[in-house]
Amino acid sequence: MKKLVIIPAFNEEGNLEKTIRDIKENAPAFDYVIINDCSTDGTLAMCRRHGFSYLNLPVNLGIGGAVQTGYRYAYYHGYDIAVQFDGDGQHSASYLPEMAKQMEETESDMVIGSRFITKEGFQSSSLRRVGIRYFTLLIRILTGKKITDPTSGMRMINRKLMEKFTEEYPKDYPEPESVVTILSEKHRVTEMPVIMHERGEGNSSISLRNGVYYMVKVSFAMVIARMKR
Amino acid sequence: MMSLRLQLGIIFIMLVVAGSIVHFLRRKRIDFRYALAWLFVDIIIIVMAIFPQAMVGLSDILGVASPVNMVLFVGLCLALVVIFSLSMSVSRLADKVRKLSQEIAIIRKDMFDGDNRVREEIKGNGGEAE
Repeated sequence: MKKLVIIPAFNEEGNLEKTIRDIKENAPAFDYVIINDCSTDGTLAMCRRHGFSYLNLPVNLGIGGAVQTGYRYAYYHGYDIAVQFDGDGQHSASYLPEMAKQMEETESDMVIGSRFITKEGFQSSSLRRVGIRYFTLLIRILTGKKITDPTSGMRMINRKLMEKFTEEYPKDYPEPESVVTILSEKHRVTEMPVIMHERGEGNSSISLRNGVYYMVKVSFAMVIARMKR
Repeated sequence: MMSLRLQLGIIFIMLVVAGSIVHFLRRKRIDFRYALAWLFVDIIIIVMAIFPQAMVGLSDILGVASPVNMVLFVGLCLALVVIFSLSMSVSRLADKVRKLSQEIAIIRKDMFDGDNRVREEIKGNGGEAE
């Protein structure tokens, strides 16, 4: 089984080193690749200096395009499992082997690391939690399935979904939308409880200013995703 | 009705626009498919300016007070169609740029890693196991 950790990185100079060390120590069976999405800080220089495995995008594609690059790479290189993993210190690599195990045992096509099953660790701000709960509700209405953490950036997929996501993946805020797409197509999605940390350096891609656009765009995209099939 | 001065004015401007479109076509600054759309709009407006009487009937049906407004309204609608088709073109282009960028990033890494095997990107055969 070939397994790849995909780490989308936009200005993550301050956090990447720790993230890579975490993966090497706690998930040694996994290869990793950093996707540098035209960072304006020293992310690229640092990847070169440390000899990290990285893909350097020639133009800025945003989070969706960056993650898709990782899926494409994984697919072309014959990986069986690919997992998206944030480079900002929010995620712990020690969960990865367990996620792969759950994926195999439950025959899932996607395993999502969820903060909201055991409700331990960093739970995000209350405003964001309201948004996340709304997405959970919307997914339930659209697909009848319960996904407690639809915005989680810690998601493992198998080769079948890798192929699918290589062909088509949302450009921005891809997580909730793509979950609706694959649930609509009767793929199997399970969740695993994880503990996440508050991000290290840097800012979330979703600020309050973008929040309204985010909610409208993602809601609309989810409904369209459901209608497509 | 439309005054003769307005008719001539509209026709003159539309002829200048048509000339510009042909000019840009010859210098290959615009693709034929887009040039044709704009020329179509241009010609429709010219025809409407030459035969404003034909607009009177249509104006009555749609409840537009004067043929002049009808010309403007039809022109605006046609322009909106062209603009929307441009939004679709831009979306398609963005998809292509996205895919190309991803391929470039992957090819660069493969070259750097000394991995020169060409990966056939045929569906179902995209990721030949190594």
